[in-house]
Amino acid sequence: MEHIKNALYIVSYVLMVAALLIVSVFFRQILASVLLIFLVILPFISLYAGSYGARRLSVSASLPSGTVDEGDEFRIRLKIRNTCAVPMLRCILEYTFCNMYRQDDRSFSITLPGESFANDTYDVCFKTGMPGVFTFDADHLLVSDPLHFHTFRIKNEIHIRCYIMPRVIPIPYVPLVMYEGESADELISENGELTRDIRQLREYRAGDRLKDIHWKASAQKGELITKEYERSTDLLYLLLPEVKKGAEEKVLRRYYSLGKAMVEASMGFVCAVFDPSDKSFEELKVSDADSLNDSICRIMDLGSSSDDVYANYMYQNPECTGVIRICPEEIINT
Amino acid sequence: MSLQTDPHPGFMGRRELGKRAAQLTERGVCEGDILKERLPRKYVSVLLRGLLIFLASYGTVWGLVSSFDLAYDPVKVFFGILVLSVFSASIYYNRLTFYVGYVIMFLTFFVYSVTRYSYINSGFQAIINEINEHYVDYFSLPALRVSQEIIADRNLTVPIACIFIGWVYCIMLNVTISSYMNPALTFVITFLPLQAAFYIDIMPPYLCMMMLIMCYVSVLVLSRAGYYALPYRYKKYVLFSRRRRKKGFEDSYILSAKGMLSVFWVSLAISLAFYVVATAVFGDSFSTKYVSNKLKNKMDDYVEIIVMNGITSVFNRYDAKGGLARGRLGGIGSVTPDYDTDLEVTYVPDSTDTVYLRAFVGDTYTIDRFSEADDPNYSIVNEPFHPDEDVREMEIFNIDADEGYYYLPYHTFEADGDMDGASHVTYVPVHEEDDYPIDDDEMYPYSEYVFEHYTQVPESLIPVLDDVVDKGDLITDKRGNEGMLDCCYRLQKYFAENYRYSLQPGRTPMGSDVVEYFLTSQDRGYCMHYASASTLILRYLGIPARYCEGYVITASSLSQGELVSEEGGEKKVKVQLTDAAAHAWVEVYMINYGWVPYEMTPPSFGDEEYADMGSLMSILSGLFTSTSRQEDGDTAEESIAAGTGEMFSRFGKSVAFLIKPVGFSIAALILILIMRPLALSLYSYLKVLFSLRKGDYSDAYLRRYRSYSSRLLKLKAISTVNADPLIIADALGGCIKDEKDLEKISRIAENARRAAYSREGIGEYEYKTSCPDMRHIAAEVKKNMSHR
Repeated sequence: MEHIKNALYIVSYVLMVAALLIVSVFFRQILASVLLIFLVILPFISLYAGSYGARRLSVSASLPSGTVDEGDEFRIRLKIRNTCAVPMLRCILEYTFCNMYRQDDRSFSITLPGESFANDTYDVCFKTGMPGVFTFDADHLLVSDPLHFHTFRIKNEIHIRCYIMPRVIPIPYVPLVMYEGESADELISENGELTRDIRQLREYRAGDRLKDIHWKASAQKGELITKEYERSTDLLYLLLPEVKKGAEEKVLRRYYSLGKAMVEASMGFVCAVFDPSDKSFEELKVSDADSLNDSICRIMDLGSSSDDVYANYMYQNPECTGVIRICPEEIINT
Repeated sequence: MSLQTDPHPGFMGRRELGKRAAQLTERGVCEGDILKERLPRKYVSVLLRGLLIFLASYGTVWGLVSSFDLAYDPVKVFFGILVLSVFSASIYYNRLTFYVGYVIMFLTFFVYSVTRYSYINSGFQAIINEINEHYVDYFSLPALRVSQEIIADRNLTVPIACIFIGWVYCIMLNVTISSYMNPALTFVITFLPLQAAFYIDIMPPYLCMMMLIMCYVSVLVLSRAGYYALPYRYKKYVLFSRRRRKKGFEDSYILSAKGMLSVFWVSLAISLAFYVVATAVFGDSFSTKYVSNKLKNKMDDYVEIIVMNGITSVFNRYDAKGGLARGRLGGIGSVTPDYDTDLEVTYVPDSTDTVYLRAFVGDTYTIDRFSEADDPNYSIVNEPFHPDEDVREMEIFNIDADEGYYYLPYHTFEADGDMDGASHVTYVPVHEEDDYPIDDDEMYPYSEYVFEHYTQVPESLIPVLDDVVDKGDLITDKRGNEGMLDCCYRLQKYFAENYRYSLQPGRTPMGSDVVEYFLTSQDRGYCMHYASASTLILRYLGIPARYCEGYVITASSLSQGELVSEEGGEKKVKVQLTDAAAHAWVEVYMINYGWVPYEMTPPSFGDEEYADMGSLMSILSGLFTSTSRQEDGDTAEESIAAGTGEMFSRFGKSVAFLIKPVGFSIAALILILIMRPLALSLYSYLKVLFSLRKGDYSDAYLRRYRSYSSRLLKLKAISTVNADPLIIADALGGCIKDEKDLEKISRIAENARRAAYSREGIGEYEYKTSCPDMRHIAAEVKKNMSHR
């Protein structure tokens, strides 16, 4: 439709020139001649001004800092800048946006006014409905000359990625099993060495291992004192989010809700993230809110697949038990 | 920067909101509203629209009234139309003003029209009368139609009529500009009335043309920019209109007062350029230099008729398709018969001689016209001069010929029937060799009248006729009928040798007499020209002559006739006479013989083509084979296209008048292109100086930095000037290798950032150290880029 409109516009312009030409030649109307000359010259001036102005026009975009939570509205700030006096009244930014879990090939456009020496800011609002990675991409800016005879295509790349954090949902009580693939005592420290460092001595709590009781201290204090090893209790659980195509948001919400509850209860855990590209697993240690967010972002980055994630994991780690599977519909202890 | 906080989804409507919700569920994200720091300034937009309407309406009214020298009160009209324009535009401010405003406008318009009816009507008639007067002067028309002005005081009536016309324009332009922003309609509405002035080479004041051009350019640009959305249609906070596309949506900015204003300035610059070109090229001289052409001539015909007889006369006008002209000789540039049958004649021909069916007989000649003979002593029927033998009958059926006449052969005895239907005629065919003298004594009183009455010629034509008589050597020693015939013969010969037959001789220029122009300049024509000129020449020589119109039955048309019956060797033939058989001839009064038809028109030799005026080629051919309107007092040109070279030469002459304005415009453009960088540099330099004088080193530095980055952009070292200075500095790393230079580049960028973003800006030291660095880096980049 736009092309037809443009064609009609150009045809009507040419007809107007032809009419003035006839009036000039046959009727010798001087004014018509002057108008004719103007109408012939104007497109060239307009095109020149358009190409001059187009090079001095840009649109940049930025995302306000901070994370975006699912269900929130956030804004992308577009800034149009015209450093010359030529009013570029039709600057069309064609863009696409989507949640990466729901690929969307639709293209959107926004016509912005590149007024003379414009330096204006516009906020484009977006509403989120599910967690994931939000992307906003634009490659070109289409700028028409003042008389709109030609549209210049200027390279104006904008790429924005934004993580949308899942919302917390109520999790039914699930007795969590410990991961038994490796002993807490044999865990490798951050320096790559075996660690048996004792973080602290504390009173015995139900569930502590008997072998961790510090008998000497217990005798001295007159009550049971147990040894708490460096990170030993943080690394007791392994969560395996099974991010399946079409149900990503459910898995993310469950994982995030459970993870948040565990972090708040100071229960660190390991998150095994499946990479569909090479079917490998990446193990992320989560002990606080930041690492939880990082793990969520990593899950989102790696995307979803229709593979059986648990089967893959068990195939690669046949000895292990005690994996907490985060499935779309439930949390399963194995 | 504080932006709107509430996205106001309400304007989307339920349907749109439903779609958004579905999109949100399905795709996880949906686009919401688009917000801006400031809401659009509706009142500025409304005022600008009002200004556009004012420019167009006042420009038209002022142009029209000034062109025709009408006295009016410019202050009253100016402010009257200004108020009306702004009021019209403000109707579209919001929904309330829209409905209430239109009611108020039409109500007040009605009241004004009714209460001021007499004034408006008189003022309007005054304008029409003035226009008519100018047209009459321009075309040298004989009569002036004057409409009655009830109130004679034009100082009172014309301003009121002007405000009324301006009001009508405000209403119409409010629709074309405020509602639709339609450049074509705006142009047609405002430019067509001014054609009344342009057509007769009157140039309205340049300032009024500037106003109109400003309006046209603004409307043209705005119509395509999408800035003309009516504020009343959208809620206050809506900035963008959303349109569904095949895939996705399109959001367009609907209103930008600043954008409208910038368009306004651009259109002002263009109209100023128009003013400069128009005044520099044409100045005050607006004289038209014609090479006559068919299109213009045809148009002139209609215009003259409208001026003389009113607009309704166009639809019932004498045309030049063939048939009778009733003695009206002017205003015909060409004849294009339609070949429809006008008369159907059934008779028994006794020879193949031409039979003249006479209808109109011309009497006195005034400019371009023979009055119809009203001769009480000589009826066309019962003509006395004829031999009393061989009486024949003729049936004439008028199909499409002029219904005001009988079409009768010479020497008719009796004629009965209707002019518009069949008529029965009894006549005596007379041939050249027949000798049927009637004793002139019987007709003496009439002969005396004839010799006195039919030898008068207009005094203004005497020099021309005298000249022709000399050139043609028409004076003979012979006397009586023999002398008359000798003169006729000499004249016929003169015409045959010096004039050509043409059905497209071109229109007579304004102010010239058709016979005079034919004899002196035109040198070609058809029967009407020859018959009228012959009549006057013969009259000038003292030979009684009359101009006649009618139809002729030639041997050619006779041969195409249909045989009706054959009795006793006499064949009765039915002949169809088309409008091409219409003819004009001269008749000479011969002593003892009466009025005798004489053929002065030279033969066409069949090379005459009837051009169809409606065809494009015919119209265009006017450029190549145009007739001979005089140019700057030169003698008329011979205008037969004899070959491509000559055709193009003529075309060149036709468009030669464009050379000056085109040349001037191109020269001006070249000058602007040369001067533009110099002017911009000067402007920038002055701004820097001004900033330095104020002590604003940051502003001065940023201006210098902008020039520096523009220069780099020109050298293609960077892709945009709008990027962050650090990004520009990074981009330059590719073409500068020297460490010191790289340091300088970083320093320049850092200073630019400080000047732009930091509160304290930069000081004199930074300015003075970095500015030479910029020059140095630009030179280095240029050197390196040229090496590449």
